[in-house]
Amino acid sequence: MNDFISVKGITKTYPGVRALDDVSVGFARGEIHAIIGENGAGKSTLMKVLSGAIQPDQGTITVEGHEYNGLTPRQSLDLGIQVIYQELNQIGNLSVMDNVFIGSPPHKGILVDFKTMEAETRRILDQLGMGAISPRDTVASLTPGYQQMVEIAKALTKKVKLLILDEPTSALSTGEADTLFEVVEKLSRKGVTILFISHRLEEIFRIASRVTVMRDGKMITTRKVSEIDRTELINLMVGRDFNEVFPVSHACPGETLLEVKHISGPRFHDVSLYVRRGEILGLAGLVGAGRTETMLGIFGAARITSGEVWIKGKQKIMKSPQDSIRHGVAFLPENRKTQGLILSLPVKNNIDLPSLKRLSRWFVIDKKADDRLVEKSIEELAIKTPSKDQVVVNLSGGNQQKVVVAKWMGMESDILIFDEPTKGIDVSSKQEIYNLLCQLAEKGKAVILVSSDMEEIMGVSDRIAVFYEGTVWGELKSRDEFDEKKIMQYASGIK
Amino acid sequence: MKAQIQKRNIKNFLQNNVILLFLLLLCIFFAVSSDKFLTANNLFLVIRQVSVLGVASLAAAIITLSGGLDISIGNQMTLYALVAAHLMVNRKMSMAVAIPAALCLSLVVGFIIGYVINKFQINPFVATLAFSTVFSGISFGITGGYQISHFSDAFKFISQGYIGAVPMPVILMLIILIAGAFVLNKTCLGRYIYSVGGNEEASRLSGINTQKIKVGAYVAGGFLAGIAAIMMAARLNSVSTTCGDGYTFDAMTAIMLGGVSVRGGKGKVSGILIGILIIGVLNNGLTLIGVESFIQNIVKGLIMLAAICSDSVIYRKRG
Repeated sequence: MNDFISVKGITKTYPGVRALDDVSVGFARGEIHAIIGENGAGKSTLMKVLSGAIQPDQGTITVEGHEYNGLTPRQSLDLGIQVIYQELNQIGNLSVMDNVFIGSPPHKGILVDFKTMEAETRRILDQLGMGAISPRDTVASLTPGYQQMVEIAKALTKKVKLLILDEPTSALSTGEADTLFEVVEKLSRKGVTILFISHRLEEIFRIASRVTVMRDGKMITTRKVSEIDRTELINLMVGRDFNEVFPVSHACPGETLLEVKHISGPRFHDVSLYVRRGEILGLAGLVGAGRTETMLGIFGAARITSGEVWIKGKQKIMKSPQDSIRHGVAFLPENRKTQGLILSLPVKNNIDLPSLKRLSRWFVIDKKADDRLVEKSIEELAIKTPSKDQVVVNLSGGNQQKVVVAKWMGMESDILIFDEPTKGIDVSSKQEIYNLLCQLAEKGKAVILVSSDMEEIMGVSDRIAVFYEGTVWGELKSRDEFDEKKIMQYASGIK
Repeated sequence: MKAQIQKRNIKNFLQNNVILLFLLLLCIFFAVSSDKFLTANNLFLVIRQVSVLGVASLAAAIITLSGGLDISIGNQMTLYALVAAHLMVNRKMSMAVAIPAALCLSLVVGFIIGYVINKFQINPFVATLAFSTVFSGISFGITGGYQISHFSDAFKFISQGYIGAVPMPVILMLIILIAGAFVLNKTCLGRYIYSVGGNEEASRLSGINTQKIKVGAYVAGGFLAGIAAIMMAARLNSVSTTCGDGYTFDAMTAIMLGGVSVRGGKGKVSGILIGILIIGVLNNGLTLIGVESFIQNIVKGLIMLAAICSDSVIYRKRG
């Protein structure tokens, strides 16, 4: 075999999740190899095994004929494996050359040799076809595309035999992506193996020679790109058995409670959707498709630049979360630790936070009503806490999430937006959240569920809108129409 | 689980009371070292001395709890005290005009500081460092550098009078601290201050107007600094351009000793009370046993450092 690197039988388990399950795959010298799969399919975990960021529980990695049971970050670098992460680790205030040579600048004695540094950076930049930028430009002044190139330049200052690109085009414009692909192709012709992780099918067909499909931590297949088409690829990515039982709400959708028409804002454009009383609207899409941003816009936490928001048949302008809360909208954010909770405060002070104004007279909080509200929420949602005065940081993930939910139950909002409510919580808490969503719908609330978990969104929703590139790309209007392949197609930008 | 919680409760109890223990130890130490320390006269002196600091500390605490910081409190106090004194002594105004005028100024100044910091999203440390120099310049301009003295007896009563056996400033301080505790614990405003200081983004997404709260904390802080300044002027008989110096440091040390986190969102008024008593006892006791002022500075600086370190350790433990 002419594989530069291959893995065999790699398994990695985290509590409750098998992130990689007996994965075997080889990457040939100088090939551009794409890895695709849904969110959580194990792509990033595999990448981390190769970069040495994590050690596999089982299996071996073979690099140029040498077998390893796992790599350390140091070993991985020494073998010429370089990773360019989705989120760039750059120091914006420093110059391009400082970033390119960060950690190991050329030096004469104890002095940094800026002349060599500049010349070397120039050479690498030219090699990447980036004559337009100067080694002395600050990184912050560059476009995201050029910032990505600086990252590649950084990799090229070291020995590089395998270059792993994780979603490299997610922040790039089409033109910038074109330049990136040219560079990638140039590198591969020089014998560098390229591992290309992407959600975007068209990119794979454009530059990759082979593609590996992953699903639920397993390696499904490796195929030549020339011998496969999009539909087949999508079929390979999805098509798994449902293994969870979802409660079904029996509410009949009533009148439209929330409708947005052609709204645009930061990272979303021309979004139109509606949700009715007693209905759960699922928002599917890949991570970064603009669902969260749209919801923040509707909630008044991000600016809507154009379009209309209608609540209960009346047009409203949401300038701030206060406005939308007043109009009966509740938003449960994606990240409970940074957006949902005040970790340093007790359970009680988190639960009653949005309700305080209602609970007080002349600015003084009615303690009895406050305690009643908090105790009722803790009981109804079965939050496991020694007392309402326990600081939330000490609670488990599932119970923390329930505290976030409890915050909004007290407000009796009519429109509830749940952004990834089950992310990182245990199975039984998940079930409780699903039950809660259904109960809310049955009580006549309008519920929007943003989720990247395919089973969940198909299991819980009454209707699904699929986001792609910041807008609604397709809609599945009833449960009978739900089809995982269809959703994946919409989410990948295929109509 | 239960045993764990119990253990945590004991730990919490010790943590909360370590500082009280420290106060007691200090008192015992000074009582042994100096026979004057435990006299009624001296103890009264201590609590009268800390009254001004108590009010100034509440100012610092409210700002810090909201996630801000104000190191111009001492210079603000000088300014407000001088404005009140100038109006009363040089302009012959009644204190019924001069005191409200100084307090109005404190509200305006607090608003300006808060607005500038939040509007331009600048680091409050550097911003209030700049402000403090501005205030000190204005203070000098008002007096030309001279002291202002000869206050009316009615004005001096604010800090030198007694109601029964209790000194007036102590009564004022207690009323203000109790009012502060009430606002912080029992009103929306107080709870919002804690939540914004604890996590601004989560508070915003809970429908709190975080900008309003953050600016409001500076306004409240300015107003309390104004009250502290009046009490200070009434106690001193005369005010100069340096009379408020040291209050920023003492107030910050007191609140940190009292468990107010510099990261915001955490701290209690009861803790602050203990914090100011420690500062008061320390200032008084070290002088009584004849420790020179430069050594007093070293001791106080080290104590502040210890308070910051323990805050950081507690923070990181809780992750």
